[in-house]
Amino acid sequence: MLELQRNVIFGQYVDTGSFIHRMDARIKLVITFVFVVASFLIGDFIGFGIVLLLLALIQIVSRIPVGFILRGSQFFLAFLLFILVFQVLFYPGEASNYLWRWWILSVSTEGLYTAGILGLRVIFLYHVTTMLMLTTSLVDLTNGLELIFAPLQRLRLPVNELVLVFVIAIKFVPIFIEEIERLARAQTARGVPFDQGGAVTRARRIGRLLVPIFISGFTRADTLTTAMNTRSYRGGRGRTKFRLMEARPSDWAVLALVLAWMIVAWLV
Amino acid sequence: MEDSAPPILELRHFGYTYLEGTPRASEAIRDASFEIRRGERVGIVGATQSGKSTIVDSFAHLLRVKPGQVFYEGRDIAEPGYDRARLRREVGIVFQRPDSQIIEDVVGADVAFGPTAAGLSAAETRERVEESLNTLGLPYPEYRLRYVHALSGGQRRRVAIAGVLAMRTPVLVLDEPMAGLDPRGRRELLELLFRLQDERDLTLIVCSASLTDASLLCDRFVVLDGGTVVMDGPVREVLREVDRLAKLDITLPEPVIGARELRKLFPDFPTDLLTEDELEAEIVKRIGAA
Amino acid sequence: MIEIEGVSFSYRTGEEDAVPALSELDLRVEPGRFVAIIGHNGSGKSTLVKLLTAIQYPTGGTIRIDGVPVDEENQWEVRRKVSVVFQDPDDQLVMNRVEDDVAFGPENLGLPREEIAQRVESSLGALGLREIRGRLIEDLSSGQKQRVAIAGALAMRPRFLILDEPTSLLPVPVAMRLVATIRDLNRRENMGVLHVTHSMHEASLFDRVVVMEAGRKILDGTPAEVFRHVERLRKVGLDVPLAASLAYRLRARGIHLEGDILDETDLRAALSAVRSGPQA
Repeated sequence: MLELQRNVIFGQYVDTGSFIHRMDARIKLVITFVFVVASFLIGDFIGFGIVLLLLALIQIVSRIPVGFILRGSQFFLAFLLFILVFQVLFYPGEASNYLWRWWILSVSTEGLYTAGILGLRVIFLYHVTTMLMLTTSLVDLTNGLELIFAPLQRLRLPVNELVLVFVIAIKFVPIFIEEIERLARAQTARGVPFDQGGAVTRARRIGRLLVPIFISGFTRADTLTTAMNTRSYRGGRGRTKFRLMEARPSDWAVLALVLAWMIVAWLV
Repeated sequence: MEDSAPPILELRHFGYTYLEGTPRASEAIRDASFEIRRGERVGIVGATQSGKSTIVDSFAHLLRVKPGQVFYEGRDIAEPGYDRARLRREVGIVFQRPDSQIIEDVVGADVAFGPTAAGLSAAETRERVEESLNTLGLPYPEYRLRYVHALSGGQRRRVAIAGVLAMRTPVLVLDEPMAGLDPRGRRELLELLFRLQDERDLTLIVCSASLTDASLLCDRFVVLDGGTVVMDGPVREVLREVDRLAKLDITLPEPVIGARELRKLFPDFPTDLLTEDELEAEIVKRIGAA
Repeated sequence: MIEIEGVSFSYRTGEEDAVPALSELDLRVEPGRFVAIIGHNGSGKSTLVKLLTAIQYPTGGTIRIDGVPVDEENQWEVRRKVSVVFQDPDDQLVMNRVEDDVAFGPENLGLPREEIAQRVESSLGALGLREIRGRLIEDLSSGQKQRVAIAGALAMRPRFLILDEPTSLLPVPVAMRLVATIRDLNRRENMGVLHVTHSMHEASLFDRVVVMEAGRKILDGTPAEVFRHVERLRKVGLDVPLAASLAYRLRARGIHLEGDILDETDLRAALSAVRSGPQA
């Protein structure tokens, strides 16, 4: 039966109390950014291999089980695989070494190579952002983003509001997933067979649930906005912070380590 | 011999862990075993998060049963090849939040969903929709074309019940049917359920954290605490164990609370009372004797 | 002091004959009082909550809180004086950890960090949440979530706390513990409480009970005064606490029961007097 909450972990926060959980959110955000830049600069398998080692290290230190992440990423990985197969079959350039050719479809070494690099790039980006969310509580994420983007406020950008909207959107992801699960169960009980049929049929049935989910999402967002207003939220104006952000020397050390590691991965 | 017929529903060493294999895993139910006979009216009661909703889900095979087994009419519903579509046509569930089980936007279409999916003719479907809506006090001509989202919470709950009634399921499961209703809404729904019990040959299962209404609707209680079955017996027998029940964070029927207090005054005061009338009679008996 | 004078409110439905949710309501609540507002769904009690918290504004009449008129211009000042807790805590908890959510309101007030920390600390303590301060909201039970929501409201140090059916989804023992905690806060902090409910069980714990029906106030007094109107309450679809109703029935049988009977304890005391009466 449907257990989406086990299969989609995007947006969840899991507190294991690890070193990474306790790191300054700003530093974690910067590190994420470093990873994003690096994943675009690095263009070969050796480079990615080096990055992979670091990701594995982060994974171990975070004490979040690998199995949990893998199971929670199956939809994402299936989707990625689907895209990559297309990428290979429709490789546009002139290839030197075709392994298989039929009509406009082909499998070539170049195609496989490009798709492989693309796949790794996407997986790295996904893993890093997922780890950021799994190890950073909503408040830390909000405060961190606000502080990092604070300079943009001079350009009259409503940074606080934008950050809060973003954070609430993330907060709603697990709630939506839970709601989809509840709807799917109730409707299965009424005879809509969510637990039968192939992947495509199932996906289409879940798709049909999106309309009521969006309606309830709007209602929720509206209620939450009202509740925030009654709790004196005025768009972040004059807001102070309860939680102190403090980058410890060890946090800076981690940042330096990541930077160095990425530069090595880029240059080799 | 009637007793030789298999029970309509049976849980055998049923267990379930919510979000198993994740850091947030929690055991919802552990080693629960009980049977429900055809025509029985059973209240599955316990505090919030005592595992009631998990049991409800298990009846229609809405989750992987692991470990243990669930039997419907003597057959394991997790067996490969078991006809679950048929199972779901026979076990009707009204969930705690009616909105989750409403499929169509328009009242009539939603109530017709089950019968149509079951392959009934248009004429027969119409007849069932009309009958179910009328039974629930939502007159067919008036409500048939109304939008579900424009109805009140109490009305939506009725639409959800109508959708299940239209299937004429031999088993009717109600999960927290009274939650969020005001006293008037509660009384109306209660009367309706009494009427249904009289008119139809139902096996009724009511899940609730409140014994107030369940004690009037059911003959037997299965009491859950922290995911295990802690009591199982006829309603009055369970109510006699009032001191044990009082520890469970469940709503006791008001007459039982009253009786428990009066036991301090009259040590022989019974606590298996279902109505105000019964409580009054017991008081009058004792005051008269005084 | 809450002063409600001749307040009416209609939801704009676009139709001429829009049913008023409130009509010409008068109500005064002194600071520090513990008041229950009872009525069935659609009686206007939820509308009253929206007006008192500046979510909606009256279409007629005026509301003043500590002299400040509740209108668009003064909405933020009003919200510093009045905190509200809704029926479903999931709709009102913003942050995902207990103490972070409790801090959310005080942060919005722009208080210094030490002050916020101190308010969070005392609110968590008052609701018995210190041990779960670091937990994720999604892992809490509904009763605990409701306590977090109340702690968040309390951290605003309001003059009045408005509770909009926060107990309707909780089992009675859990609800009663919550109301007892609120009663305690009300006494200690001298914070006025308006508790909207349809549980008669809880209502008997209050200083004053206001019964609403069709946008009007139909009964107003101490619980004892209000629950004397057994027939009247039944007619508008409300229950009477069982003890009060039994007392009414026993008295109708000619059994003489002394004093006001609101709950089981009162009933037992009165019956005890009856039993020992003949021997005395």
